Amino acid sequence: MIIIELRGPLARYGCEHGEKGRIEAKADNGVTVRQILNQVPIPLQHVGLIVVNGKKGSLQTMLSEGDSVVIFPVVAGG
Amino acid sequence: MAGYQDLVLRVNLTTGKVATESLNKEWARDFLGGKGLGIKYLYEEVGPGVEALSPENKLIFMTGPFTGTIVPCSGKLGIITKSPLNGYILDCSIGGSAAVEIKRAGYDAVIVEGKSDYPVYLLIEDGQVELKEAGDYWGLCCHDTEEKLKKVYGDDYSVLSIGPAGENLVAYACITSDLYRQAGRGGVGAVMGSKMLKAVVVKGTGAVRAADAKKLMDVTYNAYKNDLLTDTNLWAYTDGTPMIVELSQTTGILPTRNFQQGTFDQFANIKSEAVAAAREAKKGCVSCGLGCGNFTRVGEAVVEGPEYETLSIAGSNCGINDLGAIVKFNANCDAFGLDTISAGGTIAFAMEMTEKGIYDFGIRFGDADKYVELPELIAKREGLGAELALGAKKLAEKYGGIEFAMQVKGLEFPGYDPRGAWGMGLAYATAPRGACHMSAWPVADEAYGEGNPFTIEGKAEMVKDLQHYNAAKFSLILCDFWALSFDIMAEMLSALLGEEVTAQSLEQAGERIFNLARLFNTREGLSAKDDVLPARIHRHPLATGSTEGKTLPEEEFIKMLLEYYSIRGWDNNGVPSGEKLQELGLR
Repeated sequence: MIIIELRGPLARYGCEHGEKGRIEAKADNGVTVRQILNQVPIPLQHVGLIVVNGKKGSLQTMLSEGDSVVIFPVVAGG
Repeated sequence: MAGYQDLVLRVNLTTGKVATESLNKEWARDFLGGKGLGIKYLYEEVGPGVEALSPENKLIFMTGPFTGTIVPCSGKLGIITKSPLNGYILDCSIGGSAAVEIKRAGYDAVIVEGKSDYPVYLLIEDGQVELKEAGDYWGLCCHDTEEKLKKVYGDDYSVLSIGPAGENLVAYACITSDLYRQAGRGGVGAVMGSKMLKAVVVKGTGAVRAADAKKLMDVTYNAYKNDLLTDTNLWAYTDGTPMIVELSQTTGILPTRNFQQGTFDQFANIKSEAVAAAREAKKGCVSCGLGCGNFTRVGEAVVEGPEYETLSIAGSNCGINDLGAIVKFNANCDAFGLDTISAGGTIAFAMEMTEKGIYDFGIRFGDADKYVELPELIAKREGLGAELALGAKKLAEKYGGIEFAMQVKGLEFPGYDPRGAWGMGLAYATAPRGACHMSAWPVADEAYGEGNPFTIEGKAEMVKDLQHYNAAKFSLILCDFWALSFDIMAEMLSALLGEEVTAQSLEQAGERIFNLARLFNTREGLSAKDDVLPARIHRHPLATGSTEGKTLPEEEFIKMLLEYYSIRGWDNNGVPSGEKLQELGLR
């Protein structure tokens, strides 16, 4: 199982077991972050930093069983 | 002129004279308002060599064309003066409601000159303006000052005030408004204190005229619905700036232990989810569609925050892993009137000096009990506070450690380590007021986005463009958290003014404003020798996380800086060329 946490306003695009902002997926055949996100109606232009196991990843990052993914929105300001 | 009140209020504290004059319309057209127009007035009125804390310096409160209109995120007030840290230009902005009250009272700007012999506050009620004796308020903290004044005048008045730090001319004293909002950086509070001006109390009942109100409604509604309330901006509402903690941790740029590391082992204690758990309510400025403010309570301490800059610079950077201590520290800074960034940065420097055995300030990383007491000592210049009130640069000049005094032009670093975002290094080095995250924020692309953080390629162009964008946006004035395009700004401004303003002309106004700020500084003697970073950034590799082993090598930095000067049309010493000034209408 791969757990994806959606942060900030993106949280509304996922819900598992009543937990907002969470997606659970299976790691079949080297699935990529993009392939999992394609299964939910999340607008990819608003996807910013992708964190895979605590490190910076991308839509192309291939995932394995047990990976943890955090998706942040694009940010501006500070 | 639609969008403006065509009136400037000028208050001379030496003579007690209050007068109004017409707004300079030509300047308003070229410099818009807020930051830009404030810089223009200061450039024309405060010449080189004037001491920042002398009566000859001026303190300018400047609204923008969008202030008081239906345009969202337009509630900020520009505060422009000469910096007590370095004698260069200093512009800040403050949220809340004061800007709208000033504009509705009938003024585009309030220019404060001279110095009073005794504490005063300025009362503005539409056309009635009066200087009042403030002896009963002098010495009070910001919240107490504001609450006491509101008891006299009512909750519908806005108050801008300073605390003991401003009265005691601490180099990083802030101005506070609406209890929890600050114009934090660079010591605007010290300038206000030097004039013996404790507060400005303002209420306006007028309106702002739009040339084409229907069109303004239409374009604003569209922008509001389709551009503002999107997933790119709404993080400001769902999380606010604490969300950035995890972004910085992941990308290895979270300042930790005075920038000795770019990751913090206990970052989970200070990240967004921890702040959300202590959150009681959300709040926004007047006219805001986002509401970035988090009301957080831990025990007795309540703050609107802590913002990312405080969580990082006054949190991980001081080795503090207890959110409760950070909230308390933040509340104490707010009460006594201190910038949390410079306070945190200076304390972190003192902690490292102590741990390295260079000078014993009696404070070490993670010493939360002592750290929360420091804002009061600094504001009152008592004990250790008298030293820390100097700021990191002057402390280093006195006791050593200049290579790890994390500042540019005397202004302490905000919360992004340039070794993991090389463009941010250029932004710090070239921001007019010193190390500043509000002049340009390239980290959004190079660290948190898809850009490459460890290259100078394309960074000079990126930083230049962002500087123009922010200069225009903060002149109109719009909030940082709305990532809108020049096209949308132009569309709304055209409807407001009743004349065609193009995206291109706004971008050029941004460039003009940025160059005028540079001219102000070069007139004070600034040159390339001042556009430098502390040696630590070039020489000490980071040791953990995704920035492990990284520096921003000095030769790369210099190459990037010279490229930046070149594409700006500045010479190798960082001085704008005559040709560039002519192109921008600055000569």
